[in-house]
Parts: sequence; structure tokens; C-alpha cells
Amino acid sequence: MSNDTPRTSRTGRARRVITAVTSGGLRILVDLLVVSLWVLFLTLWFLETAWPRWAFYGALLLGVSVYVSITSGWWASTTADDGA
Amino acid sequence: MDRRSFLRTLVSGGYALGMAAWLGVDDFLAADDGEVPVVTALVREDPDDPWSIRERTRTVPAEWYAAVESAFELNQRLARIAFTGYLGSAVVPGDHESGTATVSVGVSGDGHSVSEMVGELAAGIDIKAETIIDVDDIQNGPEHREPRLADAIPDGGVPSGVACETPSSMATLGPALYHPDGQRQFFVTAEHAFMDDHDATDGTLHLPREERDTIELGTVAHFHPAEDVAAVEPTGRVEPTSRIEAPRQPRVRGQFTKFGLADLVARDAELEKVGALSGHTTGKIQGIDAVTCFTDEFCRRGQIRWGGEMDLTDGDSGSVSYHRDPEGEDEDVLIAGFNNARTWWPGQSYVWGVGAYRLTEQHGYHF
Repeated sequence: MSNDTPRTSRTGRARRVITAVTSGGLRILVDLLVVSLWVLFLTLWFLETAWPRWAFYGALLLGVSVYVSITSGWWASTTADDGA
Repeated sequence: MDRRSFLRTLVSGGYALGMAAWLGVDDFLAADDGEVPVVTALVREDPDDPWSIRERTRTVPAEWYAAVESAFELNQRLARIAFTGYLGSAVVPGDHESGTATVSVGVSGDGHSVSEMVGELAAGIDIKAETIIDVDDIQNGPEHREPRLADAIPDGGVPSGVACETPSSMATLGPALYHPDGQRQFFVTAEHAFMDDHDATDGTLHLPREERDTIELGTVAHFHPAEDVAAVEPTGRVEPTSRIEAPRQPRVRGQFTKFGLADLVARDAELEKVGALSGHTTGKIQGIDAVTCFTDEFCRRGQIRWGGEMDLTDGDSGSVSYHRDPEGEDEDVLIAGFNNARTWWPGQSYVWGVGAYRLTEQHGYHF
């Protein structure tokens, strides 16, 4: 049974890599979904209100950076040691 | 902010901008900045393929658009009412900065009550009532000129601007006219060049040539009296072309829409034409979407008024007015409309004919 130990540890490493890749892929998908919904929401809102163009792009980019700054804390706590 | 957050912001931001552009957000945001998109022309994507016609849009000031649009509506309302003494009216858009438009109304005799009545109809539009003392019929030009005849026929096609003969008179040949139904192409000239009784003629159109025999171009497939256009189905070995017989041999790339013409007026642009008798002339646009009720029992709508009486003479009917395509190649031109008549009275003198957009709206043809 002693032979099992290194195999188990290798499997563990592989799982960690898979987890990292999956969570990275998931993060990108969630980011795209959230940003898409944000753009769509802003588009519909601005269609109704007739506000100026600079306000649209300002809100668009502000929303994206606020979203990133909030969520980066969450991801950082779960995968603190990952390289960028 | 650490490097990862920065990268995420950059990627997400880029994606957001890309998606906004894909959604066409700018189309209406630009309008919100005081500009609106309007279709100004129907233009061929491929100059040699008349069926590749696409709409072209450009943005114009929202205020100007609103003024011109209400002027068009008002003009149509006037034509529908057609009060006593009404001879016609036209829309004259102001320049883009002014954000205004004028409706020029022609009335016969005493026009006081008329201007009051028109004033009640108008909402924020400047009305210019012109009292017209007398209406001259189309008269013969003072000097007799020799018509320009077609030369040898290049590539089996006949350009616009040369003389053509109907059974009863002579007119100018227009550039090829296309109809999307069955992808047909037509020779085109003025309907009034044919005898009033269409059944009495065989409706053939001939092409007299320099030092050669006259050849038959085709027979009339459709008469459009209100637009003063006769569409002639080619039956011979020659085909209509999208070229104009002018020094640079301009190539017809499409046509202006109603708002395209309004935009030309706003930019103080000139129209050109090539008639079989008076040749190549240019002139300012005096009014668009005009209604003229003084030549027949019915009113003609969607007319363009431009130039002066000297820009047209008998035999020039059927020629087209055009302007350089602002976005095309050097030789490309867009058609404004036909030149079929001229009118002059004290204070006014112009050539007029149906706009290409009107022909498209009514019958589906395009250049």
C-alpha cells in the first residue's frame, strides 16, 4: 500500500492543476457574462433616456472597473498563491 | 490595483466596448449628441453590378432633421388640401447649423388669405408665400441648336445625354434604369416626348447616330405620366448603360434619397446635367420634394427644382440631374432626378423634374 502514496500525491497535483484551469476558465466565462449583461443593461437604459455619449462610455468602463476591483478580492482569498 | 486586476479590467473593458460597438450603440448615442442618422443615398457596392444597391447613412444635426422633416410633412399637407390659387410648393432646407427649413409656396393672384391659412398650418416652419403673377408655358428656346448624337457605340451600350427619337418628337436619353422585379433594365426618357394618345403610337424609341443609320433601341414597356417617365424595354442589340456623355464620362453609382437631396441643399451643392441640346450645365438646387400643379389637371409630386431656365431647352427632356458621389471614386456620380420642364416667372426661374427617390417609392425603379 506504500506504493499508493506518491500516486495519490501525483493525482492531487493533477487535480489542483485541473481545478486552477477550470476556475480560471470559469472566471473568464463569469466575467464575460457579467460584462455582457452590463453592456446590454446600459444600452437599453440609454436608449430610453437619451443621455449623452460620454455618460454611456463612462458608466460602461466605471462599471467594469468596479466589478473587477470588487471580485478580485474574492478570487485573491481563494487562490492567493497563484502567479499572475 | 495589482497586475491581474489591471489586466482583467483591460480585457473586460475592451470586450465591453467591442460588444457596445456590435450592438450599434453609437447609432443612437450619436443622435443623442444632437445628431441623427439618415439614409442619404442608394449606392451600388460594386459599380458594375446594379443589383448590389445598398443604403448609405450619414449623421445630420437633430434640429435640422426635425425642421426638414416637418417641412416635408407640411408640404404634403398643403398639396393634399390644394386650396384655391395653389400652384405648387417646395421645401428649401437651410444649412445644417441653422437647423431650419423653408416651405416656398406658389400662389396665383391675391395671396393674403392664403398666407394666413398656411400660417395656421405651420408649426415652427418659416413660410415664404410667393405671389405669382403669370405662368408662362414652356416656350421654345430663342436659338436653334443641333442635338448631340450618339457616336460609335462603345461596348454595345448607349450613354445618357444623347438624343433619342420617339415617333412624335426628340428627347434626351437617360442612363439605364433598373427594376428589381425580374432584374430588368430599361432605356428611359420623358413620357411627354411620346404623343398624348399612347395607343396611337407604336411606342418605339430610336437612336439617331452620327453619320450612321438610326437604330431601334426598344419599345415602351411602361408610361408613368405623373412622373413624366417612359421606361423602354431594350429590343435591339444595344443596351442601356450607367454612363453619362460628359467630358469625364461619369459613371452612375446610385441615387440620392429625399434626405440626401436635403443634405445637398444644406451644403449649397450644385447639380449637373447633360442634355442633348443644351449640353452640360450646372446650377443650384432651389427646392426639393416640390409639388407642381400648373401644367396639368393633376399635381406632380416629389419634384426637384434647380438651375435656371437656361439650363433646359426643348429636346433636353429625359436628361438626368446628378452630383458627384461624395464618398465614391472621382468618376462616380449619384442621380438626383430627371429634368423634364422649366418654369420662369418674375423672381423665379428653374428646371424641374421628378426626383429619383420618388420614382423608386412609386414604382420601384432605381439607377
